[in-house]
Amino acid sequence: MQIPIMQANAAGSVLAYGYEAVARGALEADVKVVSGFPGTPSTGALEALASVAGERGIHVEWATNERVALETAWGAAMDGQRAMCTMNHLGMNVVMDALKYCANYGVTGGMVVFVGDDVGANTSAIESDSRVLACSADVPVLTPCSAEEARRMTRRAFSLSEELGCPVVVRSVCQLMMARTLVDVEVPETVSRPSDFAPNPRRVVMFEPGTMAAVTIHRFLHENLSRAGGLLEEQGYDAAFPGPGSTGIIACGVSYPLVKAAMVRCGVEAPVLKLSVMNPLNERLITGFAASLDRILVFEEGEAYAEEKIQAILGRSRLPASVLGRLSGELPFGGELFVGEIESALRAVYKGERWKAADAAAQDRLFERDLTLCGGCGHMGLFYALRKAMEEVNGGRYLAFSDAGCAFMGILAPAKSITSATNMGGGISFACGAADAGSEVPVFALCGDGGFLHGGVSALAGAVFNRSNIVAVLLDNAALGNTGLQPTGCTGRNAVGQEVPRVDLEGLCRSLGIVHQQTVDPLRLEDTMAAIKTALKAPKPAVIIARQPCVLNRLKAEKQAGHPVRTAAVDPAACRRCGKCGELYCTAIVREGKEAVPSIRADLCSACGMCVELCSGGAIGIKEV
Amino acid sequence: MGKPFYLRICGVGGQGSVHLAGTLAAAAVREGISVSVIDRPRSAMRLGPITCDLCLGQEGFAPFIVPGEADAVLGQEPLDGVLNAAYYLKKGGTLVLQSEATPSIGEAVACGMDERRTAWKEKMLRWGCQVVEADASAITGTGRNYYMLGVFLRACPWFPISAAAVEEELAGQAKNLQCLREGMRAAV
Ligand code: SF4
Ligand code: SF4
Repeated sequence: MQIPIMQANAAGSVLAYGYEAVARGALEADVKVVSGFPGTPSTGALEALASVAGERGIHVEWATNERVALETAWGAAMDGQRAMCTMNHLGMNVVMDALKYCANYGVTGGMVVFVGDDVGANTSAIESDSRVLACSADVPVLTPCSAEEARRMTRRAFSLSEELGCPVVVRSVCQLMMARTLVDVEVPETVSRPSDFAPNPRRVVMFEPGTMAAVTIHRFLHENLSRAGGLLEEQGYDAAFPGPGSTGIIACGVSYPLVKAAMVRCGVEAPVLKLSVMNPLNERLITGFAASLDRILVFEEGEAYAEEKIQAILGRSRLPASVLGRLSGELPFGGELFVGEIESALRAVYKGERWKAADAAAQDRLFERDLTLCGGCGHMGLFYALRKAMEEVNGGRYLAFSDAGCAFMGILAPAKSITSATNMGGGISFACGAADAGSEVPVFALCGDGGFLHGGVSALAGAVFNRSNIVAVLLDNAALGNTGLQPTGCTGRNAVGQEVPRVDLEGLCRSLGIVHQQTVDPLRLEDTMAAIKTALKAPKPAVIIARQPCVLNRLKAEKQAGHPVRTAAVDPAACRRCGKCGELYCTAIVREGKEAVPSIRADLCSACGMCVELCSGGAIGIKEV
Repeated sequence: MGKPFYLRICGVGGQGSVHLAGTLAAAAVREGISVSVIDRPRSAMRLGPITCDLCLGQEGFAPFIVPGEADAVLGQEPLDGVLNAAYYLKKGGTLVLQSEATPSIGEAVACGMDERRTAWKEKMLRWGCQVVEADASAITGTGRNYYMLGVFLRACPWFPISAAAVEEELAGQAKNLQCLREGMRAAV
């Protein structure tokens, strides 16, 4: 697919997503290696670069997890090349170990860590602020206020990284990354950088007797950050704008344009400090701005990161201005800041009006449409088989722990097939813990192929040598479904569309020492139930590989191959109205009343055949649309 | 253009709304109108709810429409459409709804449609809003979103982007263009 802003001949201003602007910045900086793990709102940046990987000679890949992505980029940067890794806020938590090593050991080529934080957890299970984490690794953190600044900052971040010898984090949020605006483009650089591997650019000697190299390096990183501050000040990313009154505003990253808009809406005029550099904060600018103020209202997306730091800076400088924001209650803690909320806060602080909280209940109602699996998803079959098998075997009593892939849908009503859904690959260790603690009911771990390769493999290895009494179900749909069908090691295709060998999950499990494993097609409900019952009696840990390609990919492939579109249909004359087909909770099966003959929505049905297998009256058949 | 125009597009399933919003944004650029669009998807699965906010002629960057300030809501599904309108549409605004319902899984299991589809429509009319419904279900495959856009362009003649600019943007997308025109015809 052609993405206009990624075209070599793009010129002037181009309509683009914020994440595409980041990708353009990397392209203009002549990035050579890009590795990432999908997660909103960062995913599209890597996909945009993948779309021009061939013509621009960029190696673009989806890594098995974020830590692998960072290490891959780091390896390339050690070789003197420009490299970027991409992830969302959850991934930032995963990479911290490697990021700290990377900051300590240093880089020679420019290395950028692009992280998109899903503040407000729109498509994520939890909120988290990557600025806090990145700051603890002592690396510069840049947070653009616009897509245009995102492009320029990303481009500059590569050269800054080279000047400082450390990775630079570019962090943004959904409110900027998922928006499309006009972005200026510049001519890409093309610099030939010789391959020159420097395994240890800072010559860190961690364990040399009698030295304090690690401490010395730690101190160096702090000095380096001051240097970064100087270099970044020259860029003018941060700027103070004068205004009347003794209550000033500090607006960080994307909050800056939102605050400006809110000020116009409520007629507030005040001194404003725009901050886009989050680490190191520009102390000179902040103290200069605060010197004549009584109060400062801080707007930022995420934690009260800047608010706390600014408070400390003012305290150290003995400046009397009080700092208001999320911590002091002027703004709600957590969640995104929208113009309406910013306006309410401005009205409260500047005009003494009562804070008008957003009608959260009304907002929630907008999303009342339940999230659900696609019609004919293999996970649906597995969940059905799990519920039914356990009803037969143990009165429906069991524990099942999943991770954050599509399998997390199992936790939702109405089916409520699983107990919990946590971090990628986390279900296996979670299940081990519950089993090791002496669970009296059978314990299952559910893990998608993406989650298994992300972190589940090490957990399953642990389950083997710790003899954990679990049944691990690997839901191999050959895709990362809920982030938009990115390939995994089980797909057989990589980020740039090349055919590649699939990871052999059966062989992998065997090599880990799994004694009992069985592969099933989860769309075959009886077989899957039988496999579950067999695994319960088998030596543990046991593994079931439930293999069925993601239904969206299956439908796409069928369309490309010119296969006719098919759907299930109910013969009303044969239907006994038993409601059995409804127990699948397939989104395509609709009944107007409990006693009514079900109808099947052809546009939502994928002709998977599960309801055909279940139908007690033989009333459902598959036909061409 | 004078005052900014705020349009919320909402739908289920995602790509239809995102594509539509992208076409409108490109058409706005073509007509020299400042524009921002923001997508708010909830999941990549089928039937995941999504909204796209389109701000036309607005100074600066504030991509999400402020509740109660949308000039129009284009709902590709009647329940999602009215719930979004209930919170976002301004009094006297325009609500265009695709009338064929896509039941949520909760409704499918409970075997009954949520009555708010009708109740909120009536409330909107009492608020002085213009409510236009159109059935796009006759269109098979893709294109229902453009059919509804056609209906919307006719129902909302003060929308700042011209039909001609949208048509130009759809050059080379025969099916979408045809659906747009059918929608415009149906709305007459
Ligand atoms: S065949 Fe049946 S179970 Fe499968 S998607 Fe269609 S309606 Fe749903
Ligand atoms: S399972 Fe078959 S017989 Fe029973 S309600 Fe569904 S279609 Fe009718």
